[in-house]
Amino acid sequence: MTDKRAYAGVAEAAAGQAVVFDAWQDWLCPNCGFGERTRPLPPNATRFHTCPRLHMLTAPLVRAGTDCKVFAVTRADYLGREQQRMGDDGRPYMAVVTERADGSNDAAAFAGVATLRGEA
Amino acid sequence: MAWSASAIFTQAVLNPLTASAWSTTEPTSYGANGLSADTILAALFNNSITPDKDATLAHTGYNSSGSQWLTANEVTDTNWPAGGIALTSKAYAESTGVVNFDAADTPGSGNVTLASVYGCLVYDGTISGGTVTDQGLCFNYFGGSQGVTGGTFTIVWDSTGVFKFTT
Repeated sequence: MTDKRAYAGVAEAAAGQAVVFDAWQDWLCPNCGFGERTRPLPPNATRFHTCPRLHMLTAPLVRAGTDCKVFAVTRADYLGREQQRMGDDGRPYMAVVTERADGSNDAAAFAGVATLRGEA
Repeated sequence: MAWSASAIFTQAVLNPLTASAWSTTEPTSYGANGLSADTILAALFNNSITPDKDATLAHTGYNSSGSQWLTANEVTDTNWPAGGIALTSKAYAESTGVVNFDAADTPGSGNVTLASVYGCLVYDGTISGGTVTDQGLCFNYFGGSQGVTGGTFTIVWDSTGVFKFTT
């Protein structure tokens, strides 16, 4: 089937008119499949979502086509009275890490909240 | 010794956070609009330190002499420089039984390589006078060792804030 609009664009370009290309970037979660489409962003830009396959934690999206795995890291230390990000499995998590095939990685580090408890 | 928890500095609560509760004088360089006007930064630290919420005022500042928060213990990269990254979208809000200070998640300014990051010092980089400069507000533990190789490092603040007061 012939795309007459495409041919029309070529004809307009040939006639000296500008053809505007609409660039975008696709982002995906390799765990839950959630996706977003944005304008092209800087190389170190990150997008986050709440991932149902990573215990409802805040997890990054990766650029479509990236060979990587994204996983959650449980807190390494005793929790005590500390308040840190909890997964829907009831365990505290300290990071979500993206490991790429080239050996580089990203980390979203979950900071504990500093708390002052008042009593009267 | 090592990191074990997150906490607000007692000295920060005394002054400047609740300075108006008594006749204590705020640091002369503490902005008229407090945390909203001042530059609040997060600097990354390794596990060679033992954060102490009850440290003396002089020992709460970023790179203050005799404190834990020396540049020798800081973890840096070109895109996460010494002194840290400024917090953005700061907010001070209340909900039932809670008053909290929050900010947008804090990413490096580009790809970084960092190792043995255990937590961060959140301090007021505008305070330049008084007993201590760059007075610390709180320190936030990441729960263990974190590291990145040639990628992004983002501090994701807790959903309840950077620090909070509960009543």
